[in-house]
Amino acid sequence: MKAFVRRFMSSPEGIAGALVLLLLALAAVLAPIILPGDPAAIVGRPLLPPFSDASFPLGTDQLGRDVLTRLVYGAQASLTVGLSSALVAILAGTLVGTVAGLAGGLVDEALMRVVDAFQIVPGFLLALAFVSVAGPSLAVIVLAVGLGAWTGPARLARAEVLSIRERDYVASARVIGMHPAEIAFREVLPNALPPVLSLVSVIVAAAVLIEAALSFLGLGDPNAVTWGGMIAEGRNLLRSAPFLSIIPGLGLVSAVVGIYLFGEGLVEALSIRGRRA
Amino acid sequence: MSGDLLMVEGLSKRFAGRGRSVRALDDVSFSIRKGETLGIVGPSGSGKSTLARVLLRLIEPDAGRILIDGEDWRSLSPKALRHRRGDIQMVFQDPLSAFNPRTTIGKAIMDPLRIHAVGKRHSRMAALAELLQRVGLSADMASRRIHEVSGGQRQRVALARALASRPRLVVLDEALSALDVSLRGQMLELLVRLQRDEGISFLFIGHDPAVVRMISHRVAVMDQGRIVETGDADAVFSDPRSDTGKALIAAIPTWR
Repeated sequence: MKAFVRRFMSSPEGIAGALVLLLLALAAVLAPIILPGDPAAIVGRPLLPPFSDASFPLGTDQLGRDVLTRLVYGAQASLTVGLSSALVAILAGTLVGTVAGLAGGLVDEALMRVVDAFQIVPGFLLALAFVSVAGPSLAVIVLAVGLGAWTGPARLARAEVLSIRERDYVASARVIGMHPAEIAFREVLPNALPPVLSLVSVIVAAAVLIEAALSFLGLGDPNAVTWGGMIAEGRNLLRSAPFLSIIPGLGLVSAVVGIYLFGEGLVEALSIRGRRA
Repeated sequence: MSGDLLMVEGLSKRFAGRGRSVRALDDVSFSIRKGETLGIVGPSGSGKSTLARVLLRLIEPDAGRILIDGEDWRSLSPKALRHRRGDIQMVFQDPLSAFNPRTTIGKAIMDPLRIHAVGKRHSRMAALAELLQRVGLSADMASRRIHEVSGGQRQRVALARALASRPRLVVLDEALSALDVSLRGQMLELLVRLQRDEGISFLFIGHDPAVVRMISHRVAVMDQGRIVETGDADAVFSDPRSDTGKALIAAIPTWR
């Protein structure tokens, strides 16, 4: 673990990404403390441009709501959805992939055909359909995005398990009489996990974008302030008040770039571990 | 014979793939007595490792019987097999790949103690230290991982793990091949001493006839899945009857 942190700290991309994410996470967590205002409350004159009024540093929208407060609360929604759906996708994918890889035969075939079926439908379309049916709420969006993203981890976990189960240390565990379930969870799974974890950043970034796109299309959680929703609301005023869309857009870009950079550092730290002498 | 610990009759195993099949084991029969070392030599691909894995029931053979102390090893249920596995242990060729890279040496050796309930929980730490000491390692080795110790120590750790469940037979599959000459000598001495003190039987698989001769009481020569010759180690090595045996002996470098 110590070596892992040291390797991560030696990657400049990783550090940059970690800083961006730390900033966003701090903003999201501390939102109610640093900006006690209600993001939905009308607090000033509508359409104040940024930097024109000290009490509204990023201006106000067409209803007179504070853009900075909404931006920070939007970070909360985006990061929550991104991280939760990545968690759902990784957990479900790893479980299915590990079972398929270890069981082999018919079980493997059946599970992988299900994976194929999910994989041929674009993730966004899947999320769109799922939210249309189940109704827009953050929990549904998390499940919907996870549903579109679990196939990658499933394939990767299966491939890893297929290679690991032929290793001598698994044979050796059988020789000492270890129970198959213990072999799966103690010998195989921990060694199959690192490559799967390197997918986290890609999934989180995609999830943040999908959530924004859903909100933009009006399928976001109507009770949550989200970046996608803010961009959508600013669309009609794109000529007269472009900052309404640009500011949440910048938030989105910095979050996605930060997550990718963080992922780079993660991959570097993890792949060196896999290359043991 | 009553002194036989392991008796193998008519083991056959065929690997099929892409239209052609390979006879890895072809009607293999032999026996090992208590406290005896049977050496197996043969060229690469002669079925030595398959034989080891079939005995350990890592691979199921197509036909044949494996009797341990007269008990049919192949008819055991998976659960019964797990409980009995402590009787036969194995040391793999490459200790680096035979240990989970994430677990410590101590935990790896404790696993068989726990699984086969050797001793009470609180006495297992002492058992661990004693096992390490028996193979000539210090107890502080337990907190390290397998890639953190030297090559010679690794194979001693593997031996300690194999000995933990108090086996009656240990299969050593090219277990000394990766070691340099002086370490190999030390390991051979260790194995001979363990056998003398505790009466363990060994099945010693090697491709180097000189090493196999040093440790084995009897030797079987394998070629293309078949045992082509068996006999006392000295007899086989000084006067091989089979072509494979002759070729192996001829391959030992001599200086005159």
